Amino acid sequence: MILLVTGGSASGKSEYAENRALQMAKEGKRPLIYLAAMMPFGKDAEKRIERHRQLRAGKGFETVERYTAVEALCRGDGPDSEAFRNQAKGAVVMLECMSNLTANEMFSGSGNSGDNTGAYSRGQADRAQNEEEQHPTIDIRKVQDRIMKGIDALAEMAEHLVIVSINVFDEGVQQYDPWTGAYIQCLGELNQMLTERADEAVEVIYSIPVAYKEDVRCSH
Amino acid sequence: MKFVTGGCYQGKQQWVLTHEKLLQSQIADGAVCSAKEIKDAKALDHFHLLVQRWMLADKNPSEEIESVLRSNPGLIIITDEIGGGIVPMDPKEREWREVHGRVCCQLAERADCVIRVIAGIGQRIK
Repeated sequence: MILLVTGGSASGKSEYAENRALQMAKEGKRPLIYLAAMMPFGKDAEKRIERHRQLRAGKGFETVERYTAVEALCRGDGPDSEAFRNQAKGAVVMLECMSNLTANEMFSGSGNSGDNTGAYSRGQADRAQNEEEQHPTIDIRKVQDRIMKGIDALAEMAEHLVIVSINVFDEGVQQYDPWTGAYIQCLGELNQMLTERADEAVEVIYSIPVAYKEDVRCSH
Repeated sequence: MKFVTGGCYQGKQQWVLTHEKLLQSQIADGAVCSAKEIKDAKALDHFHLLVQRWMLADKNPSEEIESVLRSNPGLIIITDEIGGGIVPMDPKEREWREVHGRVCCQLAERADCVIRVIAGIGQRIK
């Protein structure tokens, strides 16, 4: 099954997602894989990653880091892909977080995925910022398509997929630069696509799960 | 203790006034109130701003609110959900959102009842 977990910053969504993934792994005696999309650059990122490591400690997660191009990780020919397939087949995979994966796919341009990475590399962004500051030409559809292909590949391989996403939508887009606006749109639409794919979707509000799409197979 | 959360301008305070049958004067304002006013209040609004004040005064919000609840265990705490936008550039603002979020998890866990208010409608989520 696919479980989507969303929530605001510091809402307790990670911990909830971990516990659900752990429970799924225990029930089916399946391996548990944590697919980390956050790049470990900068003090804040390091702190956050360390906090998540502490939360996961002792729960039996195997951590795989992948910042972009999840489909290539799942379907590629390289030794990384082969190793990942061996790990992830029939496992419970928790992917955290869509906010990072989306930002990386849109803006990084120097990830670990080969030539298709970063629909909008830094250099391109700088150039375009001069040319057409008000109208970024990031191809959101392309980014979404690449990300959803990765999600589909993961879902095909894993027995259960737990996806963590975030709510960044409650303050609108007007006050932001066009790049951030495009990011908010891209992630918001991705959340809709993920919810459609998901068997169950839950918003976590200060550690309290509120389902907004129920798993009918589990209902009484 | 009851915990009421939701976005800004969603009618959280009005919901509390109506459903808890309180008067405006029984609600302390986290933006400006004194410690004594919190102790005597039936409800505390703008908890997110109180967290910010505590942080600016180098106090630990998690310990501060526990101490408040020891002296006023039936308090109704109302907060804006401030973690639902783009993560701010300013490190201080980020820290505030982070600390506020974790304290709210602590309060939601401790609360007998958690209400989320959207557009004036309160939904009991715990």
